[in-house]
Amino acid sequence: MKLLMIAFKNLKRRKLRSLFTIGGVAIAVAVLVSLLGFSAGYKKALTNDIDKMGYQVLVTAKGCPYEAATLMLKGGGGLRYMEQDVYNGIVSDERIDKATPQLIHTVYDPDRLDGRGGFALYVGIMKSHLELKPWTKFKSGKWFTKDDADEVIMGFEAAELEQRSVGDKIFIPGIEKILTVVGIFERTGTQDDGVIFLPLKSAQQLFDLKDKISGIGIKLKNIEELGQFEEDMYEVPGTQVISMAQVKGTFLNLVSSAKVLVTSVAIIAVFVAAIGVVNTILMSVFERTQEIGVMKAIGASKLDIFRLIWMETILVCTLGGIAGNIGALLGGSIVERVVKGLLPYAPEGQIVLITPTALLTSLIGAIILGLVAGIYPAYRASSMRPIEAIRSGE
Amino acid sequence: MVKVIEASGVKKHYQRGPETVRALDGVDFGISSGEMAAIVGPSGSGKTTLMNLISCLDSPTSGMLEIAGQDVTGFSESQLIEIRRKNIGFIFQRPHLIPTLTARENVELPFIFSKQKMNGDVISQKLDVVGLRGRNHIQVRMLSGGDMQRVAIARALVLNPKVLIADEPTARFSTRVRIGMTELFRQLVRSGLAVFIATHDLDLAGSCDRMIHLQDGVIVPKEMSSLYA
Ligand SMILES: Nc1ncnc2c1ncn2[C@@H]1O[C@H](COP(=O)(O)OP(=O)(O)O)[C@@H](O)[C@H]1O
Ligand SMILES: [Mg+2]
Repeated sequence: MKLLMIAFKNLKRRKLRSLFTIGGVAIAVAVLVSLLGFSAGYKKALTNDIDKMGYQVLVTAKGCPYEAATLMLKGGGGLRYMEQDVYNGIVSDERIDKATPQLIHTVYDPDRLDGRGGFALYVGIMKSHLELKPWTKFKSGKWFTKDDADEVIMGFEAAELEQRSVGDKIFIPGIEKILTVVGIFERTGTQDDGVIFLPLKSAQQLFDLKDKISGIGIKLKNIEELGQFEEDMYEVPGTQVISMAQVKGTFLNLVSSAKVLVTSVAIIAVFVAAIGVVNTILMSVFERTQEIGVMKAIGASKLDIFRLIWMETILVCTLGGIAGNIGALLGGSIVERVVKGLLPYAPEGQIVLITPTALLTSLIGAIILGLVAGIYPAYRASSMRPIEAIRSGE
Repeated sequence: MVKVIEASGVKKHYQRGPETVRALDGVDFGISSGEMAAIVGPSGSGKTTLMNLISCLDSPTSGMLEIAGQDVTGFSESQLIEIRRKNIGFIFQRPHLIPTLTARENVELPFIFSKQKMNGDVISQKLDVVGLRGRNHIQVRMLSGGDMQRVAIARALVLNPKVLIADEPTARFSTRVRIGMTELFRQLVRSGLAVFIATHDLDLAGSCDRMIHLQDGVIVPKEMSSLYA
């Protein structure tokens, strides 16, 4: 039999009280696990959501920011142009996940809108366009055969308006060239639905805009770097940066408020658990005043008593930690549902991601809690003087 | 016969507010191995104080105290623990066992605290001596009061002390238990142990080799003891 066994048997003495204390630690640990899991899962889910939104930054030629912003929101771009070198220069930036250049051009078509006339929107793109607008799907056909092919892919509405399907020919007014429709996109619900897409190179040749682009859509690896990236982009001459301020602001707000929530709740939970543990152990120390006195009288040193009480505390916390881990694993889906209900914006997918790291961190946290919470009661017990302790009950 | 405890001029004064309580006021006495001595006296005469001093649970205000030939006055706490572990077995008015443990586990405690290698045979033998053979693994809270006190005696004996110090060990028990315990003490003395008992129990005191009368912190002749007044 060892000191640990004695400590364990002491806990069994007041089963209910021990269970409550262990339960308190377990709840704190379960909260901690869930919160750590939430911290990880929420960011991941938000990042996923943001991934689905495609690009977050648009670098355009300098111009009226409002005009440019409006055009961007409509899925277009300014009608000012910048050199394609800018694109070549920034794609190598470490922070960029994906970037795609585009050239926007409008052509007046007198036959449009049943003869009333209107602008048709032509956009030169590269294949990376599909990655930055991941919601874009082919309804029929496929991508251009060559970088400079005389081919177009039509947005859903453009195809309906012009009554074209894959294989048909199309004629751009004012430009003596016949192009082939190789694909039609599905409806996206954005301005892209009315656009006729060409390969970037073809657009540059046809519209006589060699080496020019209108803008670059950019998606960063880590959205949290958006602020810094934006600032750096302002240094590039002749350009302006339009970011999805909304996206950025929302994301950062969500993540930081989640962090505040997580930290404060965790601190409170741990604090409450710590008070509970100290209280229980102190109580059991005082109840056992005589017993501790006798142990000293039969040869226990201060250190022996300190270790015994310390062990009891660590045991309570470790058991609580294990129970809390199990609880978090079992109750994860409930927490998920509750948290989703509480959040102002709940991203899709799992937002409480219980990782082995979260489990281990919390268990170690519980043990550290025991180490710390045990010091005072253990000190009180070890400094009891045997005769006074024994006399206290005679 | 080897002197196990030798005390001379031992005083213990407590300060209670402005008043000095002379709990012990110059006591000389000794006890040798194989001897059973009783200390008797009215309540408040200083018996417990003396027991605590000679069992090194407390230090005297002045005077000299030798345990197994070693002068322990001025010893540090850890030195006193060592002296206690080696030489002294202590039993109290109440058994003071750890209720969550079995009889055997309670007897193991001094081994655990003294960091000695646990000797199972010694533990069994001590439990046999006190008459608990076959009840080693019983939870102590299931035992009768008298049997609990026997477990406490086994616990006091397990490190083979030179002297067993007992402060009113029978005060709380029935006559039958007292008689049994008196026999047990005699038996232990026959095996060479020194036994020193503070008691009100005149049967127990009467079966001792020697009776020391304490009154108001000093040893008095039998005739002067108010116990017989
Ligand atoms: N810690 C203490 N502080 C003050 N007075 C004490 C203390 N311990 C004992 N006394 C006093 O010393 C005297 C002797 O007490 P004690 O040794 O317990 O006597 P007994 O065991 O013979 O009844 C009593 O008057 C008691 O009140
Ligand atoms: Mg007394």
